[in-house]
Amino acid sequence: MRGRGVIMLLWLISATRLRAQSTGDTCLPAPTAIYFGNGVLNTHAEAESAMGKLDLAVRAKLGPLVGPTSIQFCLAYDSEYQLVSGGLINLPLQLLDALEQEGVELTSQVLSSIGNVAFAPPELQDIALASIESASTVNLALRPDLQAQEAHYKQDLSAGRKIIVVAHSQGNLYVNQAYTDLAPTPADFDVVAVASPADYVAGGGPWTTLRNDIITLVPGALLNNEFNTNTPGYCNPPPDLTSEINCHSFTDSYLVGNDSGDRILSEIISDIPKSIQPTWTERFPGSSPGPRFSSAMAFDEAHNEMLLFGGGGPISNVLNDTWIWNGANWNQLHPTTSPAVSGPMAYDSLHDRIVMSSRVSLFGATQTWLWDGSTWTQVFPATSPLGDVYAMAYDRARGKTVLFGGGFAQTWLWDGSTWTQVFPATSPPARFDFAMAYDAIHQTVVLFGGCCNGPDVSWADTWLWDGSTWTKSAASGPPGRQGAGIAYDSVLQEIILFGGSALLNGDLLGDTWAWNGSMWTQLLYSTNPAPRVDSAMAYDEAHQQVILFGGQVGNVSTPIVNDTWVWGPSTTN
Amino acid sequence: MKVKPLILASALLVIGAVGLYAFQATTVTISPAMPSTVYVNSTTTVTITAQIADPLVIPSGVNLIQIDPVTGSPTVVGSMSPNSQTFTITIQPATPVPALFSYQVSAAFKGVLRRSLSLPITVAVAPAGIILPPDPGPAGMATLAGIDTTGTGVRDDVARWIAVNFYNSAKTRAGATQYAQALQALIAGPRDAKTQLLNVETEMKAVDCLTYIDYTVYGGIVPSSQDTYAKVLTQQLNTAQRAQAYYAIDQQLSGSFFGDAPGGQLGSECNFNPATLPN
Repeated sequence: MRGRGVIMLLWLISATRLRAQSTGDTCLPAPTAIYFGNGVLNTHAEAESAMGKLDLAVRAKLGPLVGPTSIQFCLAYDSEYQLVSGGLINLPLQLLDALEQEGVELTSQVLSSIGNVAFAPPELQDIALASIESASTVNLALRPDLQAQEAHYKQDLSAGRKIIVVAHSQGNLYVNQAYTDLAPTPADFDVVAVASPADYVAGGGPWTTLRNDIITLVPGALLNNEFNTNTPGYCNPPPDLTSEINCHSFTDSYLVGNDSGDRILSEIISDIPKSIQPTWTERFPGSSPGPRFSSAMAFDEAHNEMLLFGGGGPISNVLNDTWIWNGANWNQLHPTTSPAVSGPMAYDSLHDRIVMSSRVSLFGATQTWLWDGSTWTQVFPATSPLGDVYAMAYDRARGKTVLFGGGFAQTWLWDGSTWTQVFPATSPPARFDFAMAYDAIHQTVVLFGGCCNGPDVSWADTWLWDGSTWTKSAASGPPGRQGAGIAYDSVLQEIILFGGSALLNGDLLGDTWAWNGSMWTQLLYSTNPAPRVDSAMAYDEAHQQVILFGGQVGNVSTPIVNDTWVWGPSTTN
Repeated sequence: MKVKPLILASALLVIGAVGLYAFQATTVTISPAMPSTVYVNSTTTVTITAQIADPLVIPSGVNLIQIDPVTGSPTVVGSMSPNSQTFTITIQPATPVPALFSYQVSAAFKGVLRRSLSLPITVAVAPAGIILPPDPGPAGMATLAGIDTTGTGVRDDVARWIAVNFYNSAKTRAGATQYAQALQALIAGPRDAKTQLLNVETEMKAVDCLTYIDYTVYGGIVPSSQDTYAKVLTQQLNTAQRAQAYYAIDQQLSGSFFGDAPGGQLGSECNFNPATLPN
């Protein structure tokens, strides 16, 4: 009974211990805040690791459907447990104290078990069990931790954010109480309960409890509703105490379990608002440029507006009009001078200018024009790329606009005043009508597809420019095509590619793909723009949407169109 | 819900029983092995020496034992040769792959039922060409901060363990070193609330970094028993004093909020670029 006396004494001491709390908050705001409320027997490092694994698992299941910054995970950490007596304990600290008092040899194996009771010797597991059961009887009303959590949730709700709390074990007691106290609008606050000792879930949310989890010993706890078949050694029936404790583990049992893991992830994802998942939406502006294809489009960051220039009209006329998109309407501008014909263009953030390479004649020298927000100005560099079939993208990491000349497979760089041809060790094979955009998060220029890899066969390859050379990606991706639209979504942090033509003068495509730096993923929607080739596409930073305009949709009737589509979360559409 | 008094009482009785196996104060002083680092496939002879001043020691009863790094179970390596109060043994720890062997000296005394154990020392079998700091031996366990002869912010014993255990993954070595530095700063650093909190946040970034590296190296969610951060933490908290310091800080963190990396990019929390490391 000596051990019992020591433990009880230590717990009584802890009840009167003053808390010298140094709480922190490094959570980032996001439209949807996903909190992880940890359970008992976790250190802060263990809880952080569990949250990180949950984050990785959720994003892997979500794929590219939600922008990475649209959801943000946050650990609401709790390391103290309230006893029936009203005292607070930190279990690892108390176990360590007790073992020292008892003179147990503190080998590294014993010490490591303190922080990870699932792998502890049976005597430590027994103490842990006693602690779980005693700590589960809580009066949370006055707990500073609960107050801190409520303040955090309140701040999010006030800012119009959606809250999802994934609560494990004792974390459920906190979120249940917080929900009662805050009385939020149910749609704004969801609870995903995991291994809960409570007899309900706040807001009537779903729960997951494994058969033979030790938590099911708690009288009144929610009934078990899952059993995994891929975690042998976990969740064996009593009296296998080690297995019952292992069964309670958030990551090793619940998250990786073939049934429980799917259930938990699906519940979280179903709570993430569909409104932040991007879709295609057609817009019907009051004024609009006329039907056209191969227009140039780029977002003017200095003036926060989308610029569209020229293109080819329906009666083979060459257009050189200038328009801006303000999120609702197209407005035509009337600069005093303009390039005669369009060409690829990109925003040069180093010089706050849109640069356009105007192809006045095939194989003749191109003209270079700059847009400053109100005026087109032609500049006259000493050398210029030929009027080849080419595309451009601004390499923000290196402050250079990259032009790839398809017919001759030349690479040129614009530094704001001079065009310089560079000679990388490897280059994509010669091609035309390919798609090119800058992947800001991976700091590479991405080139995809084009024509032609043999008679009537489009390229389906992906090339990456890293500032010094081109490298062919091993990733497979969209079917080969030419004339696809392409843009980098800086919120989603992925390149979006739409449509094109599979064969020369052949099948038109209406599919959407996302490039995440290493692989392409097709995005499937019930509503899509009509299949088309040579549309204009660029990302509108001001409204966080990809804008798609016009293009050629067919060869017979209305082959050239002037419709406007936006791709982004429905909240922005 | 109610406490289960019977279970609680049973558990407490168990801890009382554990006390019967109380650790006995050591009278066996072991010195770091000479040398404390050898290389794979070498046949370097290592000398291990212990001092035992107690005249009741049984000269033929002093053994070198090797400790299994996972189970902690001992294996007798051999009997140590006495020379007055000095006991010596030579070994040739040869393995084809890097390893870190832990040894203790076990001594029998006349009239004493239990044998006495020294503190542990280590001998590293390192990858060829890698220079490790020497094993600090018992001196490395005497203080909270331990010994860091290289000035890298990582204790010598932990640096040796990282280099040997993660010899085949540069990413994991770099992540483990980042975490060890964070832990050392947290445990042995200033205790004012502001600095301590900054050190915890640095620690959490290192946990995120290792979670990402484990995920990419393992190809999915790593079981807790294989978490690199947890293995490093075990090495770092190898004395009661260090464990006490860490858990006392942990207690103070209750009620804190910790975010993960922006957009879930856990790899961005590394203080190096994992993508540039070869494996």
